[in-house]
Order: sequence, then structure tokens, then C-alpha cells
Amino acid sequence: MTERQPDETLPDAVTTWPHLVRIELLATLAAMVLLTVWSIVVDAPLEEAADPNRTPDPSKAPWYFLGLQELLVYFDPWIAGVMVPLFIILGLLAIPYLDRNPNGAGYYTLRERPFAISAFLFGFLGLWVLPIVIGVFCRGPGWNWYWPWEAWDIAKTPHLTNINLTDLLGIPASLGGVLVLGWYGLALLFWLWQRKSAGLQRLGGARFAITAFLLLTMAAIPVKMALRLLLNVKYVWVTPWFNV
Amino acid sequence: MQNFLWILTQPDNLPIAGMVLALGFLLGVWLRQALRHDRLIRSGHKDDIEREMRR
Repeated sequence: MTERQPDETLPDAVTTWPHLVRIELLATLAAMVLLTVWSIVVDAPLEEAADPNRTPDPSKAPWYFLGLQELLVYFDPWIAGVMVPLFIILGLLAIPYLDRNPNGAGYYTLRERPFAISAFLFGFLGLWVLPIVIGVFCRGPGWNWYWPWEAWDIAKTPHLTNINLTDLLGIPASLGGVLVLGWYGLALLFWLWQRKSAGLQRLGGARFAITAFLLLTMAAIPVKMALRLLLNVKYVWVTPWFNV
Repeated sequence: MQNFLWILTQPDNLPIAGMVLALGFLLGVWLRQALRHDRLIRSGHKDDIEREMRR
């Protein structure tokens, strides 16, 4: 079998229209036909009519929303339902402006982009797919945690005593704000430590600040999840107006 | 295990099982390609990658 050789007469680049858009249009039409036929042939898996005397337990959102529903265990709704999705959307939109490194464009690599690839995999697998998998497979009656091999027990009432982190540490509640702001202060320390490095010089102050804020916010989510699951910590920072 | 299997076989949840399997497969494909391209870059054959990607 002879190996295919590249055609040297082809140009290095082609325009998006019509080359890519035509393929995308055809893919869209094919998907629409498939979904139309599917929705005609297969009945939607609906349950019986809702009965206020028999609410299902657990009540789960559709699978693609279960990650956000799972985050409600760890954060107040304004964070889990508003801020996190907002930062995800804004962060994804900002990537082309924050990441100006041309390496890895047009070919596969791990060695040339270890940080970018790790950050992406952490965000996508760890913060998006994993909470969905936990919500779908590990949550049972009362939204209690059940391993896949455990049988559901509707009478299970774990003795959880939620405690705020400041109470756990025995420090004044007002220091919760210092802990949260100190977390983001790590970016400032890193900047002071590495500001002369070529990477940070290339990135610049504004891009570094936005990147560091997004990365620290991403990293804060599993930290809060671990605090909640392992130490029953409810809030890190409690104020009369909002809780974090 | 029966609750897990019940969840897994619900029609609504077929997409998530498919997503987990597809993710594993696609990450495997990416990693295999990435390691191969990294080997080519290290051995000074980066031009081969460009030729391969244009095929």
C-alpha cells in the first residue's frame, strides 16, 4: 500500500467560506434530518403526570444541567447558577485574546502546550464533566451521596453538621473575607515572584490579571467541593448580604 | 449496583454514557497523535507534521 503524498499544488490556506461553511451546513442538515426522524419514530421518555402528593426523590435536572445542580450543593444559587456559568462563557470567549501562543496550531502536541492543555482538561473534565457524572450516578434520595455499588436507602439521614470555615478554624467570621481575598492575592504574589520572566513579560499585566482570576476561580471550585464533602464546611465567607 | 444500572439504562441518560465513552476514545486519539507529533518535533522532523496535516 502506497502512502498518500501531500498535493504541493494546493494552497497553504483556504477561506472559511465556502470551504468550511458548506461542510457545516451539510452537517447541520444531516443532524436536523436525524433528529426529526428520531423524534417521529421514538416516543419521548416522559414519566406519568406530576402528582403533588408524590414528588420524586431525587428530583434531577436533565443530565446536561446536572453539573450545575450538583454545584448547588457547594455554593449559593447566585454563584452556582449565575456567576459560574457567566465566568465559563466569558472565560471561553476570552481565550483567543489571552492565549497568543501560536504553538500547537494546526497539529497535535502535548509537550509544547502543557499548561494550556492541562487548564483546558481541568476545566472541561474536572469542572464540567465530573459534576455531571457525580450528579447523574452518585446522587440518590435526599441528594445524598451513593457510590454506584451502594443501594439507595430512602431513610438514610446522614448526620451532617454544616459549619463555616471560620468557626472550624476558630477565627473571627470577618476573616472569611481575608481568606477569599487572600486566595486571589496568590496571583499578586505570583506576579511579584515571576514578573521578570519572559512568559509574564509577553503576557502583560492586564492579560495576566484576567487569566489569573479565571484560573484561581476555577481552582477554587474543587477546593470548596473538597471542604464541603470532607469537612462539611458550608461557607468560607459569611456576610449579611452574601455568602461564599 | 441495581440503582446504578437503573440510572444507566434510562433513555434520558444514554447521552451521558455516550459522552463518557466518546470522551475516552477522543482523548485517546488526541494523546496518541500528540505524543507522535512531539516525537517528530524532538527528532527535528516538524516539516513532516505539516505535510501530514495537509494530506
